Amino acid sequence: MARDNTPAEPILSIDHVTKRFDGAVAVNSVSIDIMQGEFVTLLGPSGCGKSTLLRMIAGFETPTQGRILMRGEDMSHRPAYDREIGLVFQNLALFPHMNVFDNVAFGLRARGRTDGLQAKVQDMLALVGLDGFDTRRTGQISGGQRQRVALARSLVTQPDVLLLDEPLSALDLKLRRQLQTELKRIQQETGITFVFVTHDQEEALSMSDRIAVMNAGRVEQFSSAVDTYHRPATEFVARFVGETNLLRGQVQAASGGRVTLKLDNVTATVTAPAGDTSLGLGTDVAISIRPEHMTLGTDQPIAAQVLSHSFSGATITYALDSAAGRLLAQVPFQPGGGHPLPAKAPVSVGWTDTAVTLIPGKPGRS
Amino acid sequence: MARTLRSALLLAPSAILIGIFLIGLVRLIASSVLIDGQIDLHHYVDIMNRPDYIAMLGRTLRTAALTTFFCLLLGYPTAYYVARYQGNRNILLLLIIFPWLVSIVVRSYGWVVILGPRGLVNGFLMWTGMADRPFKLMYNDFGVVMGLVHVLLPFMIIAILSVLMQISRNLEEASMSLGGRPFYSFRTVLLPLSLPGILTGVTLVYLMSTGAIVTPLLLGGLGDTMIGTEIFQEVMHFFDYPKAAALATVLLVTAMAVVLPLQVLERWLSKRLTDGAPS
Repeated sequence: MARDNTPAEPILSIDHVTKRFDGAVAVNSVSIDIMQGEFVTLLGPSGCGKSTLLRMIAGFETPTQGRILMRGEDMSHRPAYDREIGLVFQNLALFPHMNVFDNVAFGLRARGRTDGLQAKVQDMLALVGLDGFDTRRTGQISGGQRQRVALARSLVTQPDVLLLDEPLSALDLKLRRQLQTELKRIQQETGITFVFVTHDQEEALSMSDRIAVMNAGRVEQFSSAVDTYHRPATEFVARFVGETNLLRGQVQAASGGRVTLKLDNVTATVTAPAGDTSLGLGTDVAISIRPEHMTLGTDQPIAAQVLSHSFSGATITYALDSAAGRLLAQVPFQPGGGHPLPAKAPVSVGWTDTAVTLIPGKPGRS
Repeated sequence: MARTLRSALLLAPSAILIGIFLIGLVRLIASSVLIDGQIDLHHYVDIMNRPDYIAMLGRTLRTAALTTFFCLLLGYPTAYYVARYQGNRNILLLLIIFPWLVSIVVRSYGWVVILGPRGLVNGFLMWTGMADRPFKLMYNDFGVVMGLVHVLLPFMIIAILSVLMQISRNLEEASMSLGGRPFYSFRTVLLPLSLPGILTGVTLVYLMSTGAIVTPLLLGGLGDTMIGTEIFQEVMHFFDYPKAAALATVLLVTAMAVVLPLQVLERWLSKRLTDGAPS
């Protein structure tokens, strides 16, 4: 196989891929490029098309339109067994009639790469922390260990891309955290490109280099984990990734890369970085402000009333009712600073201007 | 104490059934060796001394083996297709089970209409001029195997289907994602996992074809009967119960001689396939 050394060539290219099932569009003209060694997450609610996209990359579904390229080669119509991919299934799909060793060795045997098989399998078992488990049956080991077997099995053939279809969703929270860390470690040690599918935004943020947020068959945003959270491109992304406050308004002034908005329902203006969009005066826009960037006080722009609060140790998150709708404000908890504000307490709420994200486009699209 | 009573009650119906079967079996064997209160094996000696009976036994086992083979050959792909069918599987199941709603006599006569000297196949061949006289498609072993495969195929399909339905499609996909080509995936994943169903189907079909009466009677040749038909005639026409019992016992023993090793083979194979390396 021709290996391209220019770093600019993506290892995996999804090129305007569309998938229809009986007229229903599951994946709608998706284009993303994934680079060698990246940890990319496809994030979205169930039914957003992320699993269908994964199955097309794996070779179990064929795109209705568009192409899937690996190392520049068109893979769209190549069967799964002729692609250099690994796949960790949601239900793991370990072979129940084989022991741990034979499960891990399967890919090497199927591809006829039996030279040094014993050593390769042992190395892989060591990498995932399963030394000495060779002869165990898959029914005799714990859930976390089964995850590791599935991972070892799909990594042993050194695939170009490893696809993971919500492999951690069945585990309890503590084990999930532990395996997230390990998955990341293994990805960095092997240098293999990971494409991870999840509906868990925290999982996506903590593990990924880049996140493709999917909704209704489309990729709404494909950016670094930090940008996905702090610079959501659409209302959907702002709402789906973390909690946020969405406020609507019209452009009142635009100059020097900043726009000033007149907000609906409340007499307040907000100034936000315009980004690379140029907006005409009077254009409807929305802004997203994360709860942790909201400030509570007495002389802030929006008057509100406390609905409820939740205490999480370091911070308190207030749910507030205001003319601009329901707002969330997360403020640090000062020990000795008294009790949380009671329900119905009148407050006023504001924000840090630099943390405001402008979301252009049609309002209400989410 | 209450639990023991409850499980005893649950077991009672099958215990009664098995008990009655066992009594029948013992009586059968007894009536073949006890003549006027004396143990007498002369029916067995007679059977062993008659070349036509030995040939009949051989033909019975061969027909059963062929029937089982063709049922497996046709049944496995059908079961696989049904198991992986995306649409309404119940309609397919209904089609498979449908022949059971029709009497076996009617079904066997159906073959006369198709395979007989003036049947559909020969009629067509002679009409097109591909043959100038009818082929002998029935009243021989070919007809019997054909008829038995038709009658027993649903058992094979259902036995294999029930196992295939429990094998997740993901396992085949896992194999393919690991570079396993379709036949490799079949051989190393699907086949070993569906082996219990195959052996159940084989056992069922084999046993039922060795004891078949109606199909060989209607579709078989006059001279080359099968053992089931022979037993039927001994009882119904010659009223020779001890001889029929002796023949039945011989049939039972020879059938078991195949089925029991099959069971041992299943244990051994599944153990080997689970522990060993599929390379």
